[in-house]
Amino acid sequence: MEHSRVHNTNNNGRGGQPRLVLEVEDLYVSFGGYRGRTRAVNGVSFQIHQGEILGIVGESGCGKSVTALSLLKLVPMPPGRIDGGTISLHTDDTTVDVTALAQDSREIRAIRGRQISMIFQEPMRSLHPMFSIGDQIVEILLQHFAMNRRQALDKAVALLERVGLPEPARVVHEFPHQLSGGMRQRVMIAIALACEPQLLVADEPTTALDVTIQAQILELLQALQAEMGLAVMLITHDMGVVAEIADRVIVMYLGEIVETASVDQLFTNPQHPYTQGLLRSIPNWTDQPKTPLHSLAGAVPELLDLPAGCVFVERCPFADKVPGLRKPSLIETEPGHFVKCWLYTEEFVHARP
Amino acid sequence: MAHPEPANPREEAAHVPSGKTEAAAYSYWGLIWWRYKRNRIGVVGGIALLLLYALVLPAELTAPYPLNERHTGFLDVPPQFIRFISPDGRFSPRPFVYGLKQERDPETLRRLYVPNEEEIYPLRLFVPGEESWTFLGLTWDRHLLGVESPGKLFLLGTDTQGRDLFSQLLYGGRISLTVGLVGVALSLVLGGIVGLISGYLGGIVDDLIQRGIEVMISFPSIPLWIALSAAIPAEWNSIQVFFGITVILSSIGWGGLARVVRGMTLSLQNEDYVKAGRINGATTWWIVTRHLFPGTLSYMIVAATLAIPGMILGETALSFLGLGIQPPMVSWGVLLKQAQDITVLAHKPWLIAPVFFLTVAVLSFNFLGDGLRDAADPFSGQ
Amino acid sequence: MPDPDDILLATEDLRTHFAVRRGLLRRQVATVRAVDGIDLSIKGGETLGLVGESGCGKSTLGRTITRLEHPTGGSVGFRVDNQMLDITNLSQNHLRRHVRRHMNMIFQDPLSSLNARMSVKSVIAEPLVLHRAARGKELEDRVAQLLTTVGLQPHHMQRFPHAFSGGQRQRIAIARALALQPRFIVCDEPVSALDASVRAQILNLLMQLQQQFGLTYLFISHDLAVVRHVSDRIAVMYLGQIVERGPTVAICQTPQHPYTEALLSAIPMPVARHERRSKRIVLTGDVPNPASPPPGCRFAPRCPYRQQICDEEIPELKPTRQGHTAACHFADELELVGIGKTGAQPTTA
Ligand SMILES: Nc1ncnc2c1ncn2[C@@H]1O[C@H](COP(=O)(O)OP(=O)(O)OP(=O)(O)O)[C@@H](O)[C@H]1O
Ligand SMILES: Nc1ncnc2c1ncn2[C@@H]1O[C@H](COP(=O)(O)OP(=O)(O)O)[C@@H](O)[C@H]1O
Ligand code: SF4
Ligand code: SF4
Ligand SMILES: [Mg+2]
Ligand SMILES: [Mg+2]
Repeated sequence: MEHSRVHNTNNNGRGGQPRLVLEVEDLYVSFGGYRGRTRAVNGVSFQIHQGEILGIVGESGCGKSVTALSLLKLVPMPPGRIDGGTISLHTDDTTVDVTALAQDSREIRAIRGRQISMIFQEPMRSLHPMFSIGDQIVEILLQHFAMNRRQALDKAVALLERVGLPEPARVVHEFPHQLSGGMRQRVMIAIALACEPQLLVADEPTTALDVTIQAQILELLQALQAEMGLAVMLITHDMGVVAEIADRVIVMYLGEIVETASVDQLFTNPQHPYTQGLLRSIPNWTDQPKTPLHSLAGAVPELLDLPAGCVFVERCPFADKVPGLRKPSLIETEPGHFVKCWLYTEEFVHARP
Repeated sequence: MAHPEPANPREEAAHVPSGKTEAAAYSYWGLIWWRYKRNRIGVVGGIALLLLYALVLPAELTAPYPLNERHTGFLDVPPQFIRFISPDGRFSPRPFVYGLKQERDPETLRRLYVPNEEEIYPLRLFVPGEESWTFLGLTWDRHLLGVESPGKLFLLGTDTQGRDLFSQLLYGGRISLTVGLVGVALSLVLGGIVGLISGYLGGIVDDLIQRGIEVMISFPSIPLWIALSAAIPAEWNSIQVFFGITVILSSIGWGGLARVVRGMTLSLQNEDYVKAGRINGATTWWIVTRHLFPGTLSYMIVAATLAIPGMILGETALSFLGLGIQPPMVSWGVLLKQAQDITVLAHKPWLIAPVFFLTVAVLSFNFLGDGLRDAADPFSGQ
Repeated sequence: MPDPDDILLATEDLRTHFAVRRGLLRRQVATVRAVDGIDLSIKGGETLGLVGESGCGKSTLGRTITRLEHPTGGSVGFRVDNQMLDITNLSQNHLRRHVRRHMNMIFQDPLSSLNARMSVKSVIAEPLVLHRAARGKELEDRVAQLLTTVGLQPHHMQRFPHAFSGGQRQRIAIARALALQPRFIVCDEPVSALDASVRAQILNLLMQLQQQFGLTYLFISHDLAVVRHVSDRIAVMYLGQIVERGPTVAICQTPQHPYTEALLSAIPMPVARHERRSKRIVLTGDVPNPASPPPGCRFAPRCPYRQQICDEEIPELKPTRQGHTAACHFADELELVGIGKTGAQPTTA
């Protein structure tokens, strides 16, 4: 249970470094449109290890979902296009570069569900309204495993039980519209886990749910991850959710990673001006009610014409102290804590507050 | 905890994505136009329709010959070629046609028309016709394109009665294409009003109207049209018949439109701006006229554009069956009646020309409608 | 009890039910008790926060108070010209003439709340035109002034809603709500659709406008952290009823209803692990269907403290020893845990 917590990124290979599952390097994705190309993801690199929950946070449109969809080649092409980078998926014996696979090739379909599976914000949209829950799970099992329908149905019931649905033997014969939002999300998780993937990508799995249901789903994800040694990539815009269950966090802004750290590092010592501003703008439980909140100026700009230098320059309170027009790169400021900001270079250390 | 104080806490900048995007400055209709312009097929459809209407509406001017003029001695003439190379092999900058010579096929003894290379008639713009015509109060004797007498210009040949098919086509197109427009306009008014009422009032009224429309829509349209047109009194004059036919055609079309409008009205009513309007003291009339009607208008236009081809085809079908427009008025359906027979077609294939025009018109309306539909969704793929 | 002269709005046993109709004959098959017996009062100048999970009836309550919905039973009183007026059964005509200008509403989705076919100017001018409050040049000046008040610029009035970001659209909606200088505004999830970094701007604006114009808010949200930050008092709603209400800090630090405690405990906190509270209550099950609420305490099927009596008797909303009001048979006996009591950080281990 506890082992997943121990391996944060900052242990540099000593001892039992968990197995690397996925490695994304310098990924660029854009979408064509008549107003020009939307540069949704710009040079994103990260790794996910077995038994780790990687949280990706950022505001709407910063490229979280597109990053996630790229892992499975699910970005609609056209208008989408992978402009560069590699996505290496390490299985027990081989390494596959997902970006090199054709959009609907047999290879990519073998990866979907079997190696990497995905759950989405709105489970109703990913479930087929005309088929029973059981049929939908059985279909996936039959596609990937040699078993008969009877065995598959038994396994479906076991999976539903595993994700904490009451009366799985009944639910298996029900249809999606007969279930509540929280139950549907559990069904989605059961489907995602059906083929025992190495990596579960969860794109805002709790955003459409109420807080009390969200707590249930987060608890379930955490338990599954600890039990099955699953790697989880959890996408959310809610800082609270990552703090609650992630081991490592990536903060994205305008298609770039601006900071990445272990969850404790990020919340005790946020370094990027964006992360700092964001955390301070969240109402705090110790504030006096009805006092002004700290707020970041402006709004997230559009992805159509990105600033030449730092992506945050238009809203950054330190922008005039450092060369905001030159692009900063990710710098390691403490073991496992990377930040993309000039303030943390030798050159501008004086400007740091 | 290292939360550095910002050095220059700037004012919350009022950040409008200005100037960056051309679309940002446009109004709602401007935005639709802007998006429509980017849809190539839609624009092609629109331009084709503009040309078509420009050609058929002033048929008196654009047709080389008046409606139903018979050219005695020129029965079943095949289309003439417009030529640029004169008999001596030189290029002639002004296109011309040869005169026509009658011959007999030595085997079948059928009458044939062959070009007479000794008679050359250059094409001219605004040639005087034999009689002057009046259209929209304008009286003139010229035709847009023609040749000097005694030459003849039969771009698409003539029919058995010696009438110039191209001229007939333009006059027929005027009827066929306006029947669609007028019919749709009628359905639009009727369907729009009924749909708005049904959607806004809801409850029992809505239920009754919807059931009524369902019953109406479930009639097969062609038999219904046939039955209705059979009921048109024989003594009606052409204009009355024309309006009778449009009313018949729109009798079914409006039901579909009313449902579209009702659906839109229902979904628009759930928009918060309608609630905001009511909070701010808006009356039902205000909500319907300021919010619901403009909200459904773009969709009505799209639905109407897509409904026009059905009406045009409906008129053609009725006239083809002899139940629609009656001679001496012509429409494409009336013209096609001549081409009913397969043997006729084998010998006079040019009589099928109305089908080509019909196809162009129907396709263009569909292209235009699709283009408008994609453009009408205000936030689609901005 | 607050001085009755201060009360701006009061409801008594307010109920709004919806008929669920099915089939060809549209027979009524069930009744959704969206709002089912609500008593609350709001003092002039304060913010009452209303929290609860989705579908518990918050928006319906907001719409009923503003008479967008006709209540099934109970009453709504609203102070107009220093007189408490029973607006429960006033005709829409009467409301338009005498009441509407004093109350307004801000909605969750700033895109849906602005008509895309109208320029910002016509959007903000709509209430002014409807009430014949201004015209011509005066109207334009007033719109410009409202835009400035909400942090936009006068020249923005020529643009259309799609040219603005989410936060700016919400500012426009706020400007419209302020146009007639109302005293009372229902804010229905005004920041739920906004990005985190913009949310704080809008909350600040709402609080600042309240100061400036002496506004009274009913602030509806599913996010207790946000409600806590802007409210003077909080009411917690569950299945169409209020289960607890009281002063903001008291509700958060010493909840007296098990549902409030669970709600507080479920909120994910953006803090490092070692600062995390230890106790965490994860409720089982889903919110029951408002068409067939449980017979006794409505929270009983999910309540960790449930006893036999809970299934049998409906607990009344009554004052507790901590000075709030809660609807639980054991409100005074349970030792419930809140957040933020220590003053330093959320309750730690
Ligand atoms: N199919 C598509 N066509 C065109 N643009 C797209 C498409 N999918 C995404 N984008 C653009 O890519 C950018 C990143 O989108 P993405 O969905 O990854 O954001 P996100 O971080 O997941 O946001 P959210 O929190 O709203 O889900 C956005 O600007 C979006 O408009
Ligand atoms: N017009 C309506 N007709 C039928 N049921 C409705 C209507 N409006 C709301 N409801 C139902 O009333 C309940 C409360 O809804 P609502 O007030 O919107 O909840 P909240 O705002 O708390 O999320 C829900 O079960 C909802 O489905
Ligand atoms: S690089 Fe400069 S502009 Fe960018 S976040 Fe750092 S200080 Fe701000
Ligand atoms: S009355 Fe009983 S079931 Fe209801 S909240 Fe109190 S303890 Fe729980
Ligand atoms: Mg997303
Ligand atoms: Mg609501």
